[in-house]
Amino acid sequence: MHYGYHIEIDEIGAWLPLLLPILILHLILFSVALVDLLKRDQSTDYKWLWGAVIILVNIIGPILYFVLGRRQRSDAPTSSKSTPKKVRKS
Amino acid sequence: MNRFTVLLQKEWLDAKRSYKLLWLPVVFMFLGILQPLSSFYLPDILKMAGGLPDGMTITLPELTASEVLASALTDQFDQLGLIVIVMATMGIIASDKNNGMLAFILTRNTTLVEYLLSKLVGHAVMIAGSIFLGFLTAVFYTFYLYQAVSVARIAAGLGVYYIWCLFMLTFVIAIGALLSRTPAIALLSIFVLIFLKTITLLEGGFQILNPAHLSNQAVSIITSGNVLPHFFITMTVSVLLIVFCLIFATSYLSRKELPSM
Amino acid sequence: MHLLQVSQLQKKYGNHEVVQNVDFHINQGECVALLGPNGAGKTTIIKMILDINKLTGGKILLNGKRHDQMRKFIGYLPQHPTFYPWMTGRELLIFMGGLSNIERDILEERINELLKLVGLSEVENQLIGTYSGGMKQRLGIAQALIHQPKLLIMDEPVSALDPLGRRDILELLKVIKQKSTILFSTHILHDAEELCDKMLIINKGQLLVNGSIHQIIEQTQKPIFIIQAPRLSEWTHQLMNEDLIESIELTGNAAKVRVKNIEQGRDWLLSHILKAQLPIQKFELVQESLEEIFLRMVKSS
Ligand SMILES: Nc1ncnc2c1ncn2[C@@H]1O[C@H](COP(=O)(O)OP(=O)(O)O)[C@@H](O)[C@H]1O
Ligand SMILES: [Mg+2]
Repeated sequence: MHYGYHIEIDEIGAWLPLLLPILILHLILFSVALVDLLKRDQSTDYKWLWGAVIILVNIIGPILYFVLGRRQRSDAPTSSKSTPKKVRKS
Repeated sequence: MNRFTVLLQKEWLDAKRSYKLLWLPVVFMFLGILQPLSSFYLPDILKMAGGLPDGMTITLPELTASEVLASALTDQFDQLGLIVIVMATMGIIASDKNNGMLAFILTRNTTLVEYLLSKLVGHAVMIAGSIFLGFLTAVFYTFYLYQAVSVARIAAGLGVYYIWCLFMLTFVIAIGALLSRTPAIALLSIFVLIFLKTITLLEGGFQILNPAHLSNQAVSIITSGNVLPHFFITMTVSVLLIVFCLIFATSYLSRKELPSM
Repeated sequence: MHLLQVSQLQKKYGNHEVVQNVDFHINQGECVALLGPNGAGKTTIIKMILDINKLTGGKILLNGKRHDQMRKFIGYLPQHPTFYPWMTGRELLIFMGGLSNIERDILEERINELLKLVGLSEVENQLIGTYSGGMKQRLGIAQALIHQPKLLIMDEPVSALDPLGRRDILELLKVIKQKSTILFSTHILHDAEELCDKMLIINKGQLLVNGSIHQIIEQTQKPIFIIQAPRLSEWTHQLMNEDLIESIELTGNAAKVRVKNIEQGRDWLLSHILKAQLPIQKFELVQESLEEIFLRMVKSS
């Protein structure tokens, strides 16, 4: 929190139970995304890029990774084939 | 085992392996926390940030607990939440269609109806779970920071709101059947759904035909315990639109020569 | 009654006739190769049998019934099997078997058998996304057999594989062939010859030949004169426009000459060789091989 220096000790005590769930949820998303990214066979560049997004962009970062960063593997055909088009030839 | 169950199990496995089952509820839980927390602490935060510039004053309305809960629906779930639902569902038809899996599955004795129903039910359950958990956290925070609200009203409001979510889902399915590229599906769906949501701000009789109006109905149920006029018409229209989207998707896909492997 | 009866099959994309009036049938227990160069229309024919692509003309009957009601009795291996990369091999088989309404305990047993047959038992719990091309092809064959289909249709099952993988799959198909009726497409004559007793040769959407390999050789084989001599090209050039000559193929210092009538052709060729004082090293009359028949037909159509 940027406002840290204004907050007094007892105020932190009041905030903590409210912030803790956010922290836990964030930690879950963050670590699952990061572990999955590390396990994947992708180029180092790719991993650095998404790693940065996951680490630097709070909460949204891991979600962006789940929605967009993993798409290549689940959408794309597994054989060495051209990209999906409306009509595929032979 | 019945084919529908087999398809549903596949959806479930897909959701698990793609972590959708994790992030979709988590996003809604965040959204649920965000509203009560920010409404409650906004005055404090403004003060801590050094207050407002001289000469500028704003009066923050004193919100009641039920108003906070209602705005979790309209300000969080209906905006970021809507976008998240579209992102979670934009590829569910298109990816199977584009990579030939749909055409391939249909060479077994499955039907398009079974296939689409499995997509619908699988994601309807996921969305139900997500908005339930999200709203549950909102309720906890509101109860803690403000005060308790009638649980019956909350449940009824959320139930009505869920029909609007089901409409979003079937609408994305229909667009997914029609178009092939996921970005196009996402943009068109978000555009139309946000448009429907935005025109609920206008006055006018046409609202009763707008499924997004169900979200206003839900707010009214939560804050006052009463529905707005013409509730059942809106409800019926929404259900009919949901059925129409499904019929459209089925008939469009069955008439088309699907891409195949 | 034939197991599969295809009559006057036709497919148009716009004005482009991709399949033109194709007729053939397959009997129970046969192994039939659909042979033709790339773009001949093999995949299109197969997809029409499976009702993935709609016919623009003709009729397909399976066991005497309309094909769109019968596709559940067909096992199908697509040309580029993609499947779900996030599933394991075993999960895919459970999924495909479930879609064919197989009871769970029978299914488990059959999956174990099939995994052993195609040699994937050890990797059954790995994600399909990690499989090699050959492994995917094997998995594709296993899923095509899971519901014990009356007819197994495979679209170029070995074309995309390296020589070793291709050998493996061919051996596997030889085992499968003993119990199943098979229709498979390929652009490689050798594979068709090795595996099957019947062939359908198609090119540009037209069925050129249809029959057993013996029949095809007997009925369509033509004699060829092989002439070997130095500086042949000038001489063969003069022959091009002769009525008697059907075609000349020059490779190095040997020429393959097809003629319309063997006796006349031989006399004519010999007299011309003498006239040109060609120092021939070889003059021979041979029968076309299957490959030469195939190439001639594809070229002349
Ligand atoms: N969807 C389509 N639209 C237009 N032409 C197509 C389509 N699919 C295939 N074709 C054409 O049909 C011909 C036969 O294709 P195909 O059946 O895939 O050949 P093969 O499998 O024998 O290599 C090709 O010329 C191809 O360009
Ligand atoms: Mg092909």
